[in-house]
Amino acid sequence: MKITTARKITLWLVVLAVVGGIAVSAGTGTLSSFGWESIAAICPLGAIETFLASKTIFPRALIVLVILIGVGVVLGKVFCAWLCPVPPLRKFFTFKNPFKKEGENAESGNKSSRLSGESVKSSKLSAKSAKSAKPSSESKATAALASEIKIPESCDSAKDPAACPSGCTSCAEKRKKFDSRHVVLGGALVSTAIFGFPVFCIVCPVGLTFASIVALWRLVGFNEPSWALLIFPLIIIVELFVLKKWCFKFCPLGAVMSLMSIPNRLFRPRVDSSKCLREQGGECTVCVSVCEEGLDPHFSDGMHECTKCGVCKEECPAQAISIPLYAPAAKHAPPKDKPAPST
Amino acid sequence: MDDVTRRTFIAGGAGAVALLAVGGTAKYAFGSDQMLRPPGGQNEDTLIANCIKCDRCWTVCPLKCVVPANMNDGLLNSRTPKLDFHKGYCDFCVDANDGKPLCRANCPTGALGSFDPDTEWIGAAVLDTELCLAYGVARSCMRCIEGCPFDAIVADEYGRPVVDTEKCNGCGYCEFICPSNTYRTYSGSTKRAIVVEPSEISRTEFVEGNPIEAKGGQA
Repeated sequence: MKITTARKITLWLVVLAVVGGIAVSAGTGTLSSFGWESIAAICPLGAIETFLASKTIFPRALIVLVILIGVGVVLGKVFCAWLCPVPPLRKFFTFKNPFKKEGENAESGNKSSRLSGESVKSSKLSAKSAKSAKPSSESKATAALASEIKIPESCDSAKDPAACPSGCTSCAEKRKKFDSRHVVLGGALVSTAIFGFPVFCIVCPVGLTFASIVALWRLVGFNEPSWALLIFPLIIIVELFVLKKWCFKFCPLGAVMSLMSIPNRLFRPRVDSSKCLREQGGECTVCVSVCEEGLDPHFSDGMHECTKCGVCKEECPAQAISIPLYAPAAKHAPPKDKPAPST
Repeated sequence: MDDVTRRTFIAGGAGAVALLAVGGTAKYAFGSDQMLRPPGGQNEDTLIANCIKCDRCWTVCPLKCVVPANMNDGLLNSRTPKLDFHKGYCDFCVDANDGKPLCRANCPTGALGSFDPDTEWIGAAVLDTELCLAYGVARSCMRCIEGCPFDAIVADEYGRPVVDTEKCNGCGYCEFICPSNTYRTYSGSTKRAIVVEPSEISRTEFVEGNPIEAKGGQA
């Protein structure tokens, strides 16, 4: 099964479990805390907020927080791609401009792309034909692909690496360990400590997504109209469609997840350099341009931000990317202006 | 932290300031009155500090008296649990969980604390003699007197209900079964003749502070 399909199914199961739990009064809760009686997951940011707001540490919340840190170490930032309803929500409601070319829409908000939509498409097509071809002709197909992605004629990485298109040293902004999300997180925690209640919970788009469902439920089932039905979606709209790069720049929950994922080394995408078109000297940067997190799977830099979404694996025109349980550490990105060493 | 560039600092700073503004606004601009909370949630500061609005307390309530507060209760209180005795009453989960309230058992963050129905209260029942049927047309109504699980409503010499506030723990049974509204729908009000009202002081403080009034009936 494709990873993106598995993700969709997981998310729908979560939504069904939440709505079903409300419907049958199971008390299972929402993503803010989901579980059965005292055995339940808690939103890690929510747990930290309650510690600061009440100036006491509730043991059960602390235990769950420690367990979640362990989950972060093993699985990384999986929450963002597998459980969080925000990215699918944004995609669902994003207005697609029919006059724009297909590729441009897919790439909107991704200034890191070098490859035009057209060539992504065509390379994908030929990748498909490569798949259907006999295994023996695979290398031929890869060569054909590479030629389509315009390998400069002079390029011979062994002789003159500088002549070859480099790895993505300049096209992607390198992910730093700390960025604006962490500043927002700091603000959320300071505000929580000052005013004595979990401030971010009030505007959290994850919480408000389910709160909107609950508000609708109360309206239909109990005839309880509330301004919440307008205000909650409005807050989500402002966060997702006015601020646009919510996940990337503002989400303090993502900041917590990224901090917990710093030690993560498992399930990282691995590039098979014998198949990778870029490593063969092509200009392909599909994996970088499709990555929601702006990462380059060729390098380990910022890889703790990887949400294990599997898109790079699925979009790679040469099927060069796999997501194994453990892959030896990828190389660091070379300093700017120098080409990537092709191995 | 040296790799935080200026641009990310501006975006992050704006977000951080916005969250400070949200905190202050919610706390001071849209505060609201004391609310009727599930058992163990009477310390308003603890409840507000610890509640992460996860919806687990009200969805588990077997008698459906715990409901999520909405925007009409203020931004700060919205999505926190409150009690609605028109929907149900609180039996402290005697039937469902041996007297250990499930809302508290479910609370993952300690927003709901321990609760002793014999010494603490959710609030106190207050009788409105204007609305009470026993003080008006239907002299025979004894629903709350007979129904109160804690014998906190006694009949006066005319058989009319009087709340014994020393015994009342605010379980809401009286409000739940009070039929006054059924017979007075023309008034347009949804208020019933007996209503549990939240109290800013604890039950012990109330009983010690008002030894005479406590016997009198009204909180």
